[in-house]
Amino acid sequence: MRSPWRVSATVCLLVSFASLGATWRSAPAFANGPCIWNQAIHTFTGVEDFGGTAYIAEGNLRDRLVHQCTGFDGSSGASAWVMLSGSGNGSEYAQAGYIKVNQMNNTKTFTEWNDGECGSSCGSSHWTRTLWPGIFQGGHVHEYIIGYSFTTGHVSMAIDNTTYDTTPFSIETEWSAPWHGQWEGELLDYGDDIPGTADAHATFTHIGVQYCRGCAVVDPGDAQKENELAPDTHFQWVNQPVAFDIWDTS
Amino acid sequence: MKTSKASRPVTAFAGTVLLLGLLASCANTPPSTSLNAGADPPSAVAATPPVPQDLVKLLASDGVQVETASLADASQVEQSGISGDAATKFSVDEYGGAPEVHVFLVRVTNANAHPTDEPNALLISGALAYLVQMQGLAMEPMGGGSDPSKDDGATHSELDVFVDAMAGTELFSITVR
Repeated sequence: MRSPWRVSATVCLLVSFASLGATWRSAPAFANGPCIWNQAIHTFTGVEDFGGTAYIAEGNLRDRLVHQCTGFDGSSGASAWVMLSGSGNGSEYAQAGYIKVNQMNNTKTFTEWNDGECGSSCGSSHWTRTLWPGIFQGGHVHEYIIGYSFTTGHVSMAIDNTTYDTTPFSIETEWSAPWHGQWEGELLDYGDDIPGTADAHATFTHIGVQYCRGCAVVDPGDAQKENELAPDTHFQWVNQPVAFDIWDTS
Repeated sequence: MKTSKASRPVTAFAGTVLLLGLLASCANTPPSTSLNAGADPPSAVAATPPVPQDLVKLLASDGVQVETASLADASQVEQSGISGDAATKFSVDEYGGAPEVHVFLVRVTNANAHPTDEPNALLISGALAYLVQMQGLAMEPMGGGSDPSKDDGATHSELDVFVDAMAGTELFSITVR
């Protein structure tokens, strides 16, 4: 049975929200903070596998709306994705997931690749992000497979069994070995929210890795949790090492 | 519908009046407010659609070829075929807008994103598409978890959005430069 104070508190809250809604009807159900930095500082919540050289990284993501910081000051955004990455630096990767950055109006499905050579004299073709309308639905599960081709050396990015993009280069010549699988939520500003809320987590399930040519995709052999650097971000294994949740409570 | 003999002279007269009216209207047409505002009057050479070099450069590097069908600026999109319900399916604001926007009508002639690829899922060979070039943006790569990229030199300034010219729906958008 509910206690009297709890009922009255609930009534007060309802009245408060009703009066608030009269003047601020677009009040969000989440509480993201103001933007803090005027440049992107990448922060990750998720898993990276170090079980051996990976040729395929795959997993299912339940997509969630991305909520950015308020008062855009140059760079903000968040995403969740599956990635195959090189070991040379953080710019060797191919990934697919969902994202909302800078002043985009809506969360969208994306693919992105990078050959790792973007220096101060970087040209235009070293990294590319592609946004794919019509796939992100909010609350739905999609399968992402980032796969190396033993024939071409290129990496393809597939969503729900459809290949949406492929690296224009062979990762054998562009990336440092070994290659790793990563499954992460990422944000660019501490004011941003990592995907997922306390009531609706962003889920990663069926994460898997292929370690050799012709081998089956297996559970990650050494899946290590990233450090939780951003405040109010959360990680929880649901079925280690193949399923976990992330969410934000700011 | 056939016109009766009795009404033909009247129709011919009305048509002449209408033609003269149109000619007079054209003579009073104010200067264009499109991207070419302030430029010299269009000549036979200028009537040839300009080639969107950035698109050609981008897609050529990916093994995709396009033919330029015509050129329009953002204000002309609705007049060029995206209208009504279709118009609501696409908005530059979806991407946060941009300091500068150019729109080209292009026809894709090779749907392979890269020479060794399978045909791109949404880039259909032969399709007529609007290319919306949003310039003046600042987009950074996402980076991997173990050592994220922090190199400002990697920032791109342009997002190219491809829109199905018939349905008005977005096909995909891609970072450039």
